[in-house]
Amino acid sequence: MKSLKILALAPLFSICIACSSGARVSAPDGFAELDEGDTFSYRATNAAGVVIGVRTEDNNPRGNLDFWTNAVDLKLKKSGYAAMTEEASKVSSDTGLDGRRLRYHTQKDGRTHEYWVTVFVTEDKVIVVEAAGDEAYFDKKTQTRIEAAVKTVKS
Amino acid sequence: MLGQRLLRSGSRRVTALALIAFTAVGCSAGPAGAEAAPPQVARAGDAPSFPGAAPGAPQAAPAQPGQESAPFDVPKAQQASPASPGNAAPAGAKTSNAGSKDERTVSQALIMYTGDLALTVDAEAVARTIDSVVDAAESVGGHLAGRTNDTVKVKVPSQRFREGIQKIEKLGAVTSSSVTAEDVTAEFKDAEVRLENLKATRKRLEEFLARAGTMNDMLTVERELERVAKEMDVLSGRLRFLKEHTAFSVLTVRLTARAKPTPVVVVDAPPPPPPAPPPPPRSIDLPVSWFDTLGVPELLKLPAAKK
Repeated sequence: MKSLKILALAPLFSICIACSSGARVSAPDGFAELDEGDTFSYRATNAAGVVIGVRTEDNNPRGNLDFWTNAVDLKLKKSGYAAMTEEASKVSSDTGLDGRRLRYHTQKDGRTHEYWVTVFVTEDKVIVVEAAGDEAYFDKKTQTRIEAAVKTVKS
Repeated sequence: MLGQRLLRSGSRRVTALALIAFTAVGCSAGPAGAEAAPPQVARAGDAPSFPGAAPGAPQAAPAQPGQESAPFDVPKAQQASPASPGNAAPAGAKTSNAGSKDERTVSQALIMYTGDLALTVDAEAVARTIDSVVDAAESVGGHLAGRTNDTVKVKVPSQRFREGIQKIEKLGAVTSSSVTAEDVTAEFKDAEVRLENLKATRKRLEEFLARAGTMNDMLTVERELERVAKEMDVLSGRLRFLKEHTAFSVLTVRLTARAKPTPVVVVDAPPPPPPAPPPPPRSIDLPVSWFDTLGVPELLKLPAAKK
């Protein structure tokens, strides 16, 4: 009887594991969580439309932090994103995970948007924390809140 | 011819009149011996020595009062010109054989001058030079005969043709010049002699007409008078033309704008084109599917509002 109960709960357990897979961050002040959808493992927005999202991907091809940081940087530059700094800035999470932050400007709907990408790499995962919004609303206060949120990343 | 026509009429009287008329025509020396005033026409002696112009000689003596003068005041010397071939005068009529041929060619040649002059002037001076050409022609007694934008035609007295052309040549750089001279002396004198003979014929015919006894005679003489009058008109017109064209010579001046010297513009060699930018650094597209959704659009794509 006991074994039957365990068998019945196993699928539900598996589903719960699947739902909770992927990295997350603590929602910044003034942000509300959104449905993460298929692309992101976490996503939240503030009232002005500044969005922070976290995607968790397999580390495949397996690479270190430098590899993935450069790969993301090249991909974005080829797509027309203008880097705001020459070098990626180093960040670290509260859990001690090293990361790199890249910052860009891009145009969307005739408006300049600011776009941050912070890359963390674990043994088998690549965690990418993205934040973007209209330049007018991507103010210092919002930036500070996003920086704080990024440090809370958990795989 | 008149005699034959009259003979065909069968009238003795008319025949007699015709014979008288022939005699009268033959004797009509016209104003022979009359010395008229010299014509106001160009003569080799008056005109400059252009190619073709005969050497000059003194003009004929002026007309004497009381004497009948020729229609164009032809001097006696000119009346002594030879007749043109085919224009032989009737027997007894005044012929051009009278007088010396050498004398005619030397002393009384009538020349029609035609000049063409091409000048090069500055482009902005073309219109001004045309005015100057007209002024030069008027200064020697000539006048404007026609003009276009770059050509002007003037008539100058033949006696001062050379003086006129010399003045005009100073108005620009002469690129070409030509003068032609046509000696119309023989034609002029032939026409004059024929005209005098016709006048005499007319006079005799008028006398016959006054004495004509029958209507038939009158009509015959009238027809002859009409023919003579027509021929006299033609000759008078020709004499007038020759007189006018020998009195004034035509000079056509064509002006050409001098080409402005083209300034030599030294154009610096164009700077070499900048080197083509190097191709973008080559990078491979990693086989990472999530890169396709990396970026702002996907991040800012908000989920549909829940109802």
